[in-house]
Amino acid sequence: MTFASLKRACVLPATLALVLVASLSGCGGWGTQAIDTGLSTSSWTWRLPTGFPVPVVPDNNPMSDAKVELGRFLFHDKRLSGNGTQACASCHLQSLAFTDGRATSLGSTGEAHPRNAQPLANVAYNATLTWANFSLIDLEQQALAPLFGDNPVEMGVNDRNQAAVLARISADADYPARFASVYAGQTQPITWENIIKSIAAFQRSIVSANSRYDRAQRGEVLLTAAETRGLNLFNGEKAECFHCHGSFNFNDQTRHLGLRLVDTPFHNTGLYNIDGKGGFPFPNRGILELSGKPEDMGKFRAQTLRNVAVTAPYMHDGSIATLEEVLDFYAAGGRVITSGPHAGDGRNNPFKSDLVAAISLTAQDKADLVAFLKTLTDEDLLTDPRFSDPFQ
Amino acid sequence: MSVFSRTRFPLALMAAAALTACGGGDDTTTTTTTPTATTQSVSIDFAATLGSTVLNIGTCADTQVNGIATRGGAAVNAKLTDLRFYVSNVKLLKADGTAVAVTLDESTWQANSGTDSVALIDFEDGTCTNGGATGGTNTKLTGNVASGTYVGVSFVLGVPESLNHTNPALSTTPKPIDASVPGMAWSWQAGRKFLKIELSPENATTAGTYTGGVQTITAAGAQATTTTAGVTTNVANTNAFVYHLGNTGCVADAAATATGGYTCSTNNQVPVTIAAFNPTSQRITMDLQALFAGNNATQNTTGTAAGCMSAADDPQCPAMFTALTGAKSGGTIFRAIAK
Repeated sequence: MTFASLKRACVLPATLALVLVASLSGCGGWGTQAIDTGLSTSSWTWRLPTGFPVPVVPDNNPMSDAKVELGRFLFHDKRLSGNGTQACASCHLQSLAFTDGRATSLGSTGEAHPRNAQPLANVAYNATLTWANFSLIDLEQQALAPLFGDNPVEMGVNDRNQAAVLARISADADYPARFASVYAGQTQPITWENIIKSIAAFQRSIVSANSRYDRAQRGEVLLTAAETRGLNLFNGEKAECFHCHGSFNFNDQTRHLGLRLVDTPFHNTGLYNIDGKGGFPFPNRGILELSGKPEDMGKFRAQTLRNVAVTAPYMHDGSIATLEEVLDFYAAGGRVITSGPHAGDGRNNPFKSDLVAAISLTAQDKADLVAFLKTLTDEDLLTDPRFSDPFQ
Repeated sequence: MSVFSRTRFPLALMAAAALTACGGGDDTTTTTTTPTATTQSVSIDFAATLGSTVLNIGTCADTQVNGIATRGGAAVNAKLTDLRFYVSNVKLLKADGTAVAVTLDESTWQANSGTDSVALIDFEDGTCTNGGATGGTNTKLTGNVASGTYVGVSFVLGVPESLNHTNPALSTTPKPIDASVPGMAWSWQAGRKFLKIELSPENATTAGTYTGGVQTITAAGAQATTTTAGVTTNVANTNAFVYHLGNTGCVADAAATATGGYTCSTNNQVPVTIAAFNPTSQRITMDLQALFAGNNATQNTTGTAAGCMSAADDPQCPAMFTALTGAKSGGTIFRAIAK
């Protein structure tokens, strides 16, 4: 067979596929299953309730059911760390809305991480992805930090073991077929690119939209009197929670289709003031550590409050244990630490956000706010088999 | 400093526009006037030195760099646990000052992308404590340049911004900066480490031990202490002085689509010119003694990164930055030495 005829032979099926898709579309309803030829790039449907916008998906990493499922395996696979002891899921447990219950996390080599693990529900809507980093705006880029980062070491993949880690994945009985199906046409589909893309697709699929609050919004249940009072406080000018947690995702950095401008604010909430000049303890000084700008001291991203009742402890360093204490902290307009290396009056932090001022909340107010915050727990998310550990 | 990146792209756009304005008529002529016969091959060797001593690198196992660090003014033994850096946009210089770009041979160490080129210079073979993959050293640049008579060389220490923020994991990313060298990725800045030097000074009290050799000090330079329940103790010494150079404060241009580039508030690329250089008889050295001259490398300020990770407010950084600024103006860090 000549090269020319080979080429023609390859072109033909693609042309046929196009014709088929076109004619199937014309036929209507039954098309979805028939079109799926294994490439799977178009077999994805967002399951979004009213009020939830469509997430942005990078052009080079379209969603598909098969890719999301592959990503679920990889997300839960300890073989993806350098020493085989830790998976993404080790610090992002489904039962805790993909946090780990620790104040700050531990890497695969035992190195301490300075930050509290991120909740991942609705991460597809995040304009930036970690506590204090305006550089990391897509999951494919962010994944490099936990996988390859050396300061601190998280999953501990490095120059020396990265080929061995890929070989481990390749040697699995199941993965080669899954990669070949999702990334059809590639001669060696088990690559870091495809691993990262699969995990990112899985993460984007983790949508939390079925909390008691969501169901109340849809008229399926009624909130209690206490929950309703809490909701009103949350959205009112007294507690003013909504300024930073006011979107459908209960934060103030969202990105989705149809949004013309994306805001990425970071806030100093007066957690620390270790030197009387607004200092936060290293290496948790907020976006200052990237920008180098003094005024960025202590500025962190407002976290989503969805599932907040199960993501304790709180703040970027897990330094507040309970929701009640978080409310006390905000009511005081900052935190006073009386002794130890972090002593200082955070209320007087010169870089503190104007939105964090002392407010008088009664015990009833706080109880009502906590009752409301607990309505943001999506019980389905915590057990949904679509997100669960496939190795258990 | 943000002016750097902001002005750069418009200039590039203007250049492109100007070229386009020339029209299509000349295209055929242009493409047919660059046969390979008019180019000559280029090979440039790199070395690392400590003053005038050429380091025996390539058989790493933590190369001794005695005297790179000082303690109380006295020279201290140290071990080099990693030494790698990126060199980009290499040009040869003619006697009249004209700079002509070198096209690098494509390999795992070298790549060209548009008008930019980048190469990883790697002085460790995988046996250094913090080094890269086993078996890999690269101390030579190879490529070709338009035929001519050249007297000097210029390059930039760092990764060009057009490539700096590419995702290492993508198959389209050039090999020298891809996921096979995660040690040079700088994921928290969504970029690359331009220069990675890590060393462990000898312990002050136990000779032959290369841990605990870096004293933790206060901003005022005194021993850092911590007080718990009324008891004051010294903050523990650390093991390593790390120097990671890279662009910082890199903001994504288009957060809405995540498809834009980045604009960095601090550009730490270092343009280097060596006016007199003969690649046949000479090589380019990076003098670690000159680079570390302003830092004793046996102290690190509490509440800052270990060594210098390019933070503007890290007391261990100004001396490193100053040394490299000196390199820009023809200092001694990069210079020609005999092969």
